Amino acid sequence: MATVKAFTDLQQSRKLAEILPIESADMHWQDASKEYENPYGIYDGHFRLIAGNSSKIINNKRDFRKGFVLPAWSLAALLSVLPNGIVMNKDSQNGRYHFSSTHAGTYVTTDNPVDACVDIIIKLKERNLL
Amino acid sequence: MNIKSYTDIEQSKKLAEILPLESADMCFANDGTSIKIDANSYNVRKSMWKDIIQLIPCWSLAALYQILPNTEHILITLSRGGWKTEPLEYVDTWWCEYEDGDDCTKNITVKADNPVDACYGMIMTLKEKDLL
Repeated sequence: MATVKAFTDLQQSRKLAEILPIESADMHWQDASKEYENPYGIYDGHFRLIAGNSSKIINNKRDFRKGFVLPAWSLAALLSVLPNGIVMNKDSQNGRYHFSSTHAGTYVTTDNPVDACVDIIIKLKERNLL
Repeated sequence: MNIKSYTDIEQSKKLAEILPLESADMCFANDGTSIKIDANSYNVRKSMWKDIIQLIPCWSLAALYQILPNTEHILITLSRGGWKTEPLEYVDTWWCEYEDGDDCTKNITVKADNPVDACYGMIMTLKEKDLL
C-alpha cells in the first residue's frame, strides 16, 4: 500500500508558520540533531516529527525563534483553517486530488491532499481570503 | 485548538477488523500506564516493539481519504459547510459524498462534525454495502 502524505513537510511547515496561527498546528517538528537517531522515527532533515498538541513546546518562544521547533499540520488541521465552502475531490482517472474553494474560484490540483491544502491556503492568503 | 486529526481508539478497533493494517499510518501505544498517539505507522512500530508494547492501529484523515474508492465513475468529495434551519443557526458540518456516475441510486452522503468522522462513517457505510 502506498505511503500517504499525512502532514506538512519541513519546508511547508516553515511557510505556514508565517501565515497561520501556531495554535492551529496539531503536530510539531523538533530539532533532533543532538539526539540519538531513532531508526523508526519520521525525519525531515534532522528534524523529527512528533504527534499531538505541541503548544507547550511551541510556547517556548526561544526554541521557536531559534528554529529548534516548528509547528506541523496534519490534513485535518489544514482543513480546519480553511473557510467554509471548500471542496476536495479525488480524481478516479489519475489519482490526483483537486481542491476548490467557492471563495474567488480558487482551485488547485496536486498528487496528495496535504499539498493541495497547503497550496490553497497560500493562495487564499495572497488574496486576503483567509 | 482542538482538532480531531485521526481515528479515536474505538473507531480504530473497528477499522482494524475491516481494513488492511498496513493502511494505518499511525498507532496508539499502550505501555501499561498510558496510551499515547504515535506518528509512526502501525507496521513500523510493530516491527520495532513486537509484542512488548500493546499497539492499536490508527488512521489519519489522509489515510482514511486514501482508502476511499478510487475507481472510474466514482467521485469522492469531502467538503465543509452546512446550515441548521430550526432554529436558524449556522452549524459547521463536514460532508463526505460518494457519487456513482453510472448509478445515482448508489450515491451516499455522510455528514459529521469533523472530517475524520465523516470519512470514517463513509468507510463503514461502504463496507456494509459491499462497495469498499
